[in-house]
Amino acid sequence: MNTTGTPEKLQLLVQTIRDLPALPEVVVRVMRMTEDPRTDAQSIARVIATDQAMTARVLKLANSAFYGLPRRVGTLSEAVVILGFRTIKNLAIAASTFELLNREIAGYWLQRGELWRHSLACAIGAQLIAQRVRLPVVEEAFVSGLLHDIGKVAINLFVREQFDQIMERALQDQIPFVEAEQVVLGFNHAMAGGLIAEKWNLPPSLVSVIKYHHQPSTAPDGDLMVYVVHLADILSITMGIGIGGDGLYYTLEEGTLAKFGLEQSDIDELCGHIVDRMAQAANLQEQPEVALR
Amino acid sequence: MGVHLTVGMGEIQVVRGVGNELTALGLGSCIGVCLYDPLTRVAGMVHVVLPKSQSERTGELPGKFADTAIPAIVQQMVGLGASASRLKAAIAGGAQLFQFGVSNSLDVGSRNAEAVINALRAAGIPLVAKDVGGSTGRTLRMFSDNGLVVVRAIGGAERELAALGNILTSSGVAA
Repeated sequence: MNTTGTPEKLQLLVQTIRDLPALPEVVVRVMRMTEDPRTDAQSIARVIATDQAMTARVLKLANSAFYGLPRRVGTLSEAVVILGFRTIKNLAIAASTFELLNREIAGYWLQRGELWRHSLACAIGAQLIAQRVRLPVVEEAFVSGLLHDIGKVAINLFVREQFDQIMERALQDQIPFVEAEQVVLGFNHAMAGGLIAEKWNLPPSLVSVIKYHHQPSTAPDGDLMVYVVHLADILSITMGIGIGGDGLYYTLEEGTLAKFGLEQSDIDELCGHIVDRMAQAANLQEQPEVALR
Repeated sequence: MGVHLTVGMGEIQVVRGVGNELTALGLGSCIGVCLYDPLTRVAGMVHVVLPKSQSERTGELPGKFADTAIPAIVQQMVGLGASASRLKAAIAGGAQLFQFGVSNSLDVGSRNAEAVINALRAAGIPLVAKDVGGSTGRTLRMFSDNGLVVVRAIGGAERELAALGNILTSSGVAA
C-alpha cells in the first residue's frame, strides 16, 4: 500500500489528541465505580453530586416522559436506583462528550450538530440491534454507537487539507473512504478514535469497537458488539443521518447480516424504528439524555 | 412574508403562495419528493424513508413510506386549493452504499426510488425530473414562487433540477 502519510503527520495527530479535553473526573469515577460489585447507589449519588450540571441532567432524565414514573424523583440516589448503574454511567459519558461531538467538522463537510445527530442515530440503532439479536449488553451498545466516530473530531483538520485527494483515491482504487484516509494520511478516523478512547481510559471493549467499527472481522476478540455498531453505523450512513462529503462511500462488511440472521425486512424495520426514535429525540431538543433509557 | 421549512425524515410540508421555501437536508437512501401546482402556487415536499408501510400500526407518519406518502401529500395539497390533475413532480435521493465490486445487500435507495416512481405513476402525476442513485448525500430545495427545484450534493455546488412552474415543462419523460 502506498502510504503518503508521514511520521511528522502522525506526531501531529498524537499532539492533537493530547490537546482534546479529558473526560471530567466525575465520569471517570462513576465508570470505575459501576465496575465494582461492592458499589451502592448512595456512593454513586455522592460522586455525581459533586458536579452540579451532571446532577441536574440525571434528575431531568429520571423525571422525563421516557420513564413515565408516577411521581417526581427528587434525590440523586433515588434516580440511580431507578435508572440503574449502567444507564447512569452511559448518561455521564454522553453528557460529557456532547460538546465535542456537536462541533462543526468542516473536514467532512459536517455542519455543527450533524456529527452529534449521526452519533445519536448510530447509538439508537446499536441499541435496537442489540435488543433485536438479544445481546445482553444493550446499554453498552448505546454508548459504543455514540462514540464510534469520535476520531473524526481529531483528524478533522487533516481531512480538510486533503479531502479531495482522499476522495480521488477512494474512487481510483475502489476503496471505502476510511481506507483512503489511511492511504493518504497514514491514519484513519477509526484508529484515531481508538487513541482517544485509550487516552480517556475507556474500557478495552469500547476501544475495540471504535477502532474496528468499519472492519469488524479484524477485531482481535471477535466481539459481536463491533458488528452491532458497524451495522448501526452503515444504516445511519445509508439513511443519510448526519452524513458529510464522504457520503455513502463506505461498505457493509460481507456476512454481517447473516451473522445476526437479519433479512431485508428486518433492516427496513430497524431503519423505521431509528427514524421514529430520532424524531422523539428532536422533539425533546436533542438533549443527550433523552435517548438513554 | 414566506416561510422557510425543513422537511425532516418522514415529514410532509405543504405551503401556498409566494416567498416560501421547502428544504430536505442530507438525503441518503431517502427520497425527497417535490410536487407543485403552478396555478395556485401550492408546493409540497415529502421526505420518504422506506418503500412500503410494513404494518397497520397507527400513528405512523404517512410520509415515511412511499406507498402512503404520495396519496397523503396530494390530499394535503388539495386541501390548500391545489388541483391533483395539475401537479408535477421532481425527485432526488435514493443513494446507495458505493459498490466496491461486491454485491450490495442494502438496496434501500433503489427500492425507494422505484416505489416512489410507481406511487407517482399510480397517482397520475408526471415526473418531470429526477436525480437519484449514486453514493453522495443530497440537499433538495423548492421555491413556491415558481416551483423551481434545486439540488446540491454535499460538498458540491447547487444546480437546477426542474422548473415545475413552467407550463412548457415536458410531462413524464423522466420516469
